[in-house]
Amino acid sequence: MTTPMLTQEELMNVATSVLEDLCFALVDEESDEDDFPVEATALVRFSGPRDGRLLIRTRGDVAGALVRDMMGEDEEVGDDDRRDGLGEIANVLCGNIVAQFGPVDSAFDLEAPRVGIGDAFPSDASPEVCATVCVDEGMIEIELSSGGAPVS
Amino acid sequence: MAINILLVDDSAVMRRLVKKTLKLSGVPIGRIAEAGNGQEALDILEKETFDLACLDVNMPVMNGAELLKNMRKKEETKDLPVIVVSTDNSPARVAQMSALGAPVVAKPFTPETLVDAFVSAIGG
Repeated sequence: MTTPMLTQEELMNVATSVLEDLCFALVDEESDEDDFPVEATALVRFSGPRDGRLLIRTRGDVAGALVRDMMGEDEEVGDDDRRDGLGEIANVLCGNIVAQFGPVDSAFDLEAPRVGIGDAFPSDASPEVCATVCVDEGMIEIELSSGGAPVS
Repeated sequence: MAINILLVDDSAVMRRLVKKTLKLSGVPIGRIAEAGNGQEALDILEKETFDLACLDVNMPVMNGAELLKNMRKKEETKDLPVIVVSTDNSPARVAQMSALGAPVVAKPFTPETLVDAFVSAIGG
């Protein structure tokens, strides 16, 4: 039997740590609202000792806020920056997740993140572990899947 | 003396963040050239010289590990100080980069960690 990649608690902890350190975000497990519309999705595939993919789906006005916080208030953040920044956040999150998989004797390769507006990439039918983290501007759903599930 | 830097990362936002961190640090920064992947970096290195290169690992076209291997084979760049700024700081990746003479700074980084790595790499 294959060892699970991470528990939900471990995934939450990694996501919280990355968002706090990279974007200075105040992360919570619950939100006062739960009907935020889907804003964007970002997908990162990884291969190496384990193969899989990380999908993040932002709801609300999260991407712009996170990238603004990452860059600092004095920086202008345009549409391209929001897209690029969300991809980089997914990339950093994925790199920090695979680093939790335990001792491995070779490095992981991460593909360049793919970012789409709205629900651009479908959820895996059976992700291995999911987590949702909330920030002031909305929420971020995170799905970690093993194997090479096709992406349309 | 101002330090000329080649900054290689496929994320323009991350390149801006690294540049901003360095400029605010007080380290004397001169020219900063940017590349979005390893091949672009090699093309720039054919024409220009730098005091330090800062590389991401996971990039399209040519990743940072391949770029660094290529740099170490060339007379002009074999001794160029390099730091790797990557999401991947697994022991396997750190060992791979260390064998090529490049320390790894993990993303997300603090300004202090990044600046310390730069200062150390340039022998400060």
